[in-house]
Parts: sequence; structure tokens; C-alpha cells
Amino acid sequence: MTPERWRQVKSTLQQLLDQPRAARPFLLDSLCAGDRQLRAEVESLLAADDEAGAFLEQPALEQDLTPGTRLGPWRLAEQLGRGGMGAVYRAVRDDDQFQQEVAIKVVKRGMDTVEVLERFRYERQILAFLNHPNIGRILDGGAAPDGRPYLVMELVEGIPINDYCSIHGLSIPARLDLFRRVCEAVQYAHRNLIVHRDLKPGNILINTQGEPKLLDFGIAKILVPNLPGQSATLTLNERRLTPDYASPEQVRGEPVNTASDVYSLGAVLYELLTGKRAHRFENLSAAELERVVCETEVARPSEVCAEHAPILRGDLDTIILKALHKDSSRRYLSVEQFSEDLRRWEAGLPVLARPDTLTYRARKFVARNRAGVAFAALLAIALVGGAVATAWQARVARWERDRATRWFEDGRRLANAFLIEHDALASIPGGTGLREKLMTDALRYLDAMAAEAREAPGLIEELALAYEKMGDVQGRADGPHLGDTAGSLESYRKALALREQLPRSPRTRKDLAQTHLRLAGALRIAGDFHGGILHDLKGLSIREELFAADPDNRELLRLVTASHTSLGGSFYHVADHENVLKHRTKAYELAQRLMTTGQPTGPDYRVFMLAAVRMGSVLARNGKTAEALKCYEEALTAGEEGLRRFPGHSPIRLTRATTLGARSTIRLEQGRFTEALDDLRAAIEIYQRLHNADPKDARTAFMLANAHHRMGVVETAAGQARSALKSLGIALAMRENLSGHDPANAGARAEVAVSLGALGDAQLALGQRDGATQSYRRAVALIEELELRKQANTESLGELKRVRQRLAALGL
Amino acid sequence: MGADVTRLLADWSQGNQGAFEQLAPAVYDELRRLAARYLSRERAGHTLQPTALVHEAFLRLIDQSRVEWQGRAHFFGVAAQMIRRILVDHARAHQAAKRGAGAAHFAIDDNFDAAAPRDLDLVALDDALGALAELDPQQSRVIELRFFGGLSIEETAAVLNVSPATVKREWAAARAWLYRELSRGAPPA
Repeated sequence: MTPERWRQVKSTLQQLLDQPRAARPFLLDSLCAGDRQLRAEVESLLAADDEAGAFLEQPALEQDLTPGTRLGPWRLAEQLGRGGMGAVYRAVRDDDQFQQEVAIKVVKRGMDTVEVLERFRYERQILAFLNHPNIGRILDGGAAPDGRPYLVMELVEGIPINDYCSIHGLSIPARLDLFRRVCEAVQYAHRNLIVHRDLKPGNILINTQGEPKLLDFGIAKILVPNLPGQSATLTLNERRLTPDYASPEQVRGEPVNTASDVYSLGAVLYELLTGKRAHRFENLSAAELERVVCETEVARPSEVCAEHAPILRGDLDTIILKALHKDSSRRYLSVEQFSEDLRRWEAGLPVLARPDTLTYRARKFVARNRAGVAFAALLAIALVGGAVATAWQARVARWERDRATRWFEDGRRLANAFLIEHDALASIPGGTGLREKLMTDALRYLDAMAAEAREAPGLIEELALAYEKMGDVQGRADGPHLGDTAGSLESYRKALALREQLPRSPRTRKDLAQTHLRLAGALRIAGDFHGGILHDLKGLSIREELFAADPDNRELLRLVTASHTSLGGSFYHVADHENVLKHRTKAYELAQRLMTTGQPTGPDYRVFMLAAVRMGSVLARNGKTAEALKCYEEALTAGEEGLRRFPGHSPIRLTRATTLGARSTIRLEQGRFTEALDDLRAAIEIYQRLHNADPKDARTAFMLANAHHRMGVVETAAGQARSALKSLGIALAMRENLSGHDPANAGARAEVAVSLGALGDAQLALGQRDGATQSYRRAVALIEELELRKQANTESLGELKRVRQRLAALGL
Repeated sequence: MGADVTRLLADWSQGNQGAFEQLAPAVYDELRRLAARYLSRERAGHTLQPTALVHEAFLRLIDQSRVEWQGRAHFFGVAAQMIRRILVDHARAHQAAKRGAGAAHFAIDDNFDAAAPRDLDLVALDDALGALAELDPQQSRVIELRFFGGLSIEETAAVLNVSPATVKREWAAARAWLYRELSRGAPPA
């Protein structure tokens, strides 16, 4: 295997590892399209990843502490156990003050990051205040000689609650009594604002007197805080959390609260009463855990335990399933309430828990499928009569209204922030800094709203749109933008995450495809070409599917065309010319259909022009110059017609300039320098006008710089090296400025390097040997840096090769 | 000595490769001396860990008042390379001694914890890492720093000057690749 090939394999593998398992086969197909060898390679690595288990996870020289080691006043005795976070030892006090046996938990190497140590100091003080007979106490703490933190805890001799119950053959009521004592202890901690986060039988020990003792309260928080942006996968891998008792929000890496402990207790009780775990996992991959914990319905306790089915059926089923509800707001409000309901059941009183009601289900249905609501309402009227249906609708409406009120407030704040401040800023010179602040504020509102939107698809949709618009302003690949690539990536990712939660309808699918394309464009700019291809492919497959279902829809035809064009560009960056040809040919075919069936719209003209230009570039690359020129002519003709019909449609103008730029390349190759320069001058004029109209639009600025660059290249070739120095100077200054303002834009850095290479040529033509050498060297350094980060595209790699040859020819 | 090494470390962390060439022998000698002491169980009851080793070497070699955390990260970076060499040499010698007696595995000390990767063929791993370095030098460094150096993800990221997210992705892909390579030869335990 070559490094280049490995880079391709690795990138594919990493993308797949990031995805849920279920999505992998589809992605494998699209990522390895036609490349069987790549596919086999990636599949075998995925299999290796599955089997690897803890391979290499423990550092080579790491060894546990040995008995006899002293930690502060404590001397270690034997190891009691070890887990994902570290090992636990029995220890005795070693300073003759008094005989005391304790348990010492030493954090694993790798967990002792600066942040963990800080949190450790702070949390330890809080935990020391927890003083309850059923909670194991934290007595002391410190750092081992190698810097790893340790905790000294009350030594609890006991066995896990589930083992205790089976060994002693406790009856259901006896199990419930024991469990409710556990609840009391958890409730005490909750009143002190401490969440356990890792409740499981192994942390609930019962001593010889039958007293429960809870261990490790709050420890999980020290070791695994909720960090923003940290994915669930990471959390799972790093803490090797027991998935059987973890709540959906924990598995997803979302903030944890007391409701998460309610869930874990529910899972423990499920096991105590049925002898079975609430979930069954086919494997321990993060994707599988997430799928099962967050999506799979838990079977009723009475269904899995024939022995106790008669007792469990009914209220106990309902109580346990309420504690285990996927939606944390549908669980018991507190552990106390959960425990109280169990008491009521034992006393034969009516319980608080209700099975998911018709109203709830209806609401879920409304939430899932707005389009179907009207139909459902009609059905309800037909079946149950007007009065009932009206009452039902009123309840739904009230619920929606409460939420809408809050949303209105947030939305208004957001709108105010945008409209008032934004308008004011537009007239202030140098308002960019403030505008950034405004952006940050707006995003904060959006994030806050996103946290609440979980149950209301309408609102999720609005939010997704807001994020997408935000991404567009920050850095839409094919529209005006501020040149904030990093920001746009984040916004698009959020929009995508929200859109993926939405129920499927042709409209939401269409929007989802668009977001995929936007993200693809931003990824391409950021130098993640395979990521770009991946999202382009996802977008295309959705659009194709919609188009197949609605073949007369011109808008869908245009969208499919645009997708193919975009994909062609994505594949061009990774030099997959076969796929470039495939998608560009397809785009060109479809675009012709777009122009010949029905009356083209403004966007139709633009899509056609772009498809024709890109087709021309592929043909030119394959040496079919005449055919390429024909494509460019078609694009220009369509542009003229389009502008006659839609004079205000500036994308057509922009694409016209793009076409002229492309044509100049052919003319340069043909040695028709004057015509090439004419084309470029015309293109520069168009770009300059658009740039003046919207100077903050980084995209037009990029294109203007590019036209100046090409102008310089042609001038050098035409023997006008002095003019070339000027053109390339303009291009370089613009590109350096753009690149400097957008550090995440790898493409911009590559362009700076390419301009430096061209500048070197012009300098050499003028006999400026030292200047040329310097320019070439800067170009090489820039591209090498990009290559190191795997962000170099085909064009910059070609330039690297060329410039190196130049340097070699200079004897350097 | 201390001031010397400190200066070299500072030079190296600022990109001077020559400084690394001079720094390496001093670090290597110190680590080997310390490792030998640990390995001979002269200090029974103490931890045997790469980090403990490196900490001690660091304390001995480096003038603490003049080094930022960044410098410490770089030191760990050098040390990881050294530990790899020490361990692999050790394993290779062991293998040579036992040749004919079946595949020799990593066993510096019989007292080693069973959970430690004693079943791992370090010589094979070293070879595979060499092959990986040809394909992807950064990935090979990630494995070296984390597995031999015992560095955390954040520390590894600091040494390589990349983001922790990159370290995680590189780690995952490299680990799968190495696992497969080692399974092809003799199945890793």
C-alpha cells in the first residue's frame, strides 16, 4: 500500500467509525463506489476494530500499585477490584494513630489530566459533606507519588444488591423494601444537589446486617464531566460505562440530572424484580448502545418474567416503565415520588404512574407527523364525535401554546438582536467585530432553544433553518458569505443534527438534502474532501429518491442536477477523475433537460450554466478543446438569455464570469493570449462590480482574486511579465488577506501557495532569480504544511510538484 | 547537565531538530538507568509505569523553574520514543534467549500484572509500527506516545500540535490497522 492509498483508506475508515453501525453498509457502498479493493480493505479494518477489544489501551509499562505502597498515612493491602476508571485497594492507616481499614480508589493513568485533577480537588470537598448511613463516606484524598489522584473511602463489606436478593431468595415485597431504602439514600444526595450518575448493582452493596450502602456517589462527575461538544461515543469509550443502567441522555452524552438517577434506579429495580436486564445488546459498540438505550422499547417486566408475571402485570409494570421512560420529562419527577409510588402499590393504593395515555400518544403523533394531524382530527370526529375530538384538540393546542409562548419570547429576542443591531452595524465602518459578537449572542440563543426543542418538530425545523442560515452567512460555499469556515461547519452540523430528528416527509427530506449539500461545500473548503463527498452523496441520494417519486417536478430536477455538479467538484479535489466525468456528464444531461422542458427560472439558468461550464472543463482536461468551447458558448448564450429575462439575478452574472474565466484557460493553452486576456478582463469587471456591491462577501472576493491570478498567469505566458507581477501582486494580497481572516479555510491557503508559484514564474521571467526562489520556497512550505494536515487538494499538489521541479531546475 | 538539557529541550520544542539529536542520548541513558533499577525490582513496592519513569527522569534532567508545560509535553514525546526502544530491545533479547522455545512474549518481570499487555509480542508490534510509520508517520507517533509513553489524549495532542479529536481519530484507525497486522502474523492474545 502507498501512503496516498492509506490516506484514502484511513479517511474512509474514520468516517465509517464515526457513524452508527447501521449506517455503515450504505456508506461503504457510496464511499467505496466501484473500488472493490478499497472496500475490502476498509471492511477488514472495521472487523479488526470490532475485535480489537482493549488492544493497546493500557500503556506498555503500566502496572498496578503493589501491596505495601504508602499513600499518605495509608498503606495498601490487596486489590479489591478494577474498572474502567482505576483500581480499588483495601488499605490500613499506617501511622499508629488508630486502626482503620479503608478502601482506596486510585485513578487510572490517562485520567489524571489537569482538568480531572482540578475537578477532583473541588468535588472531593463537596462529597465529604455527604453524611448518610446508607452512603459510603469519602474520608480523604490525595495524589500518589506519580501524580495520580486517589480517594480514600469507607470500606464497605457487602455484596451487590441483585446477588444479595437472589442468594437470600427475597420475596417481591422484601425486594421492594430494600430498594426503597436505596431510594432514600439517593434522595438524600439529590437534596444536596449531588447526582450519582452511575447507579448499578455493583455500586449498591448490602452488608451482612442487610443494610444497603451506596458507593461512588458523584465520582463519575469528577472523572466524566459533561463537556460541551463531547460525543456520547467518547464518553462511553472513556469511562467504559455500564450500558445496562445508563439513561438515554447519558448514552447520548447530554447533560445528566436527577432524572438520570431515576432511570438507573428503574433499571436496577427491573433486574431485581424480573432477574433480567432491561436491555439486550448485540454487541458493545457505541452505535449499538445508543440504538438500544435510546430507541428500543423496554419489554414489560411481566412479559419477561413468567414466574412473577401475575404480580408484576399492571401497576408494577407501569411504575417501572415510567422510571425507565426514554423521555426524562416523562419519568418520575424525583426518586422520592418513585419510591412513594412503590409504597402506594404495596399498600394497595392507586399509583401515580399511568401508562402512556391516548393524549400522550396523540401528542407524539402530532409531533411526529404534522401533515397527518388534519387527517387524524377528521378521523377522530368521524369516530368519537365532535365534542370529544374538540376537547382532545384543545389539549393539544394548550400544550403547543405554552411552548409557543416561551419560544416566542426567545425568538423575539433573537429577532431583535438580529434586526436592530444588525441594521445599526451595517452603517458603522469596522462593525465586523461587533457583528461577530452579535453572531455569538444569536447562536447562544439558538443553542438554548435547541436544548428545549426536543418534542416540537415545528420548532426544531425553524431552528434548523436558523442554523442553516447562520451557516450560509458564515461560509456558504456557493453563496455570499463572511469567510468564517469553522463557524459555518459548526452551524451546518447543528442544522443537520436537528433536521435528522424530523419526521420524514418530502419537504423535510428536501431540506435535509440541502443541508447535506451545504455541509459538503463547507467541508470541501475546510479541506475535508472525503467528508464533502460523503455529504454530497447523502444529499444526492435523498434528492434522487424524491425525484423518482415525483419525476415531473422541475425543482427536484434542478436540485438533482446541482447535486451532481457539486459531486463532480468534490471528486475533482481528490483527483477521482472517473467520478468527476460521471457526475458532470450526468449533470450536463439533466441540465439540458431542465432548459428544454418548460420555462426555465433564474436558478435554472444558473444551474444549467454551471453544469455546462464544468462539463467543458472536464472535456478540456481530456483534450477535447472544441467540444469544451462549445459548452462554454452554450453557457454564455444561456446566461445572456437568462439575464434578459431576469436582469436582477446576480448569480447568473457571477456564473457568466466563471465561464469566461474557464474559457480563458483554453485560450491560454491554444496560445491565443489576447483573447484569453479579454475574457479575464470581462470576468474581472463583473466580479469587481459584484464585489463593490457587497464588499463583505468573501466568495466574490475569492473569485476576483482568482481572476487576477489567472490574468497574471496568462500575462507571464504572453511575455508580459511586468504586468503579470502587478496582477499576481493583487491576487496574492487579496488571497493572503482572505486566508488570514479564515484560518479554517484550507482552500484559501492553497490558493496563496498557487499564487506564490505563479509569482515565482513571473519573477524568473524577469530574471529575478532570488525573488523567484523565495516565492517558490514559500509556496512549497505552504503546501507541505497542508499536506501534513491532509488538506492539500489536487491543484495544490500539482503545483507542489511543478514548483519543486522549477527549484530543481534552478539548481536548488 | 540540568541547564544543558533544559536549553536543548527549549530549542527542540521551538523546532530545532539538531537539539533533539543532542537531547536524545541524555534522556535515553537516564531512562535506561531508571528502567533497569525498576526492572531489577530494586525498588519493590513502587509503581512501574512509563509516567513514573519519565517523571523521575524529567526531575533529574530538567531545571524545573525554566520549563513550561509545553516543554514537559515535548519531553514526554522524546521519552516515549526511548521507552519504546528500551522495551523492544529488552523483548528482542528475551526472544533471542528463548529462541526455539515457542514465541516469546513480553515479560520483563514475572511479577507483572496479568492485565498488562504481557501477551503482546512487542517485537512484532515494533515492526508493524515501523511499517505504519512508512504509511503514516503521525499515526505511528500517536501510538508511540500513548502506548509506550503512557500519554493521555490531551498530552499526545499537545506534543503533536494537533487537536485531541484528531488524536482520537488517528488512534482508532491506527489501532485497527495494527491489530489486523498483528493478527495476520500470530494472533494477539
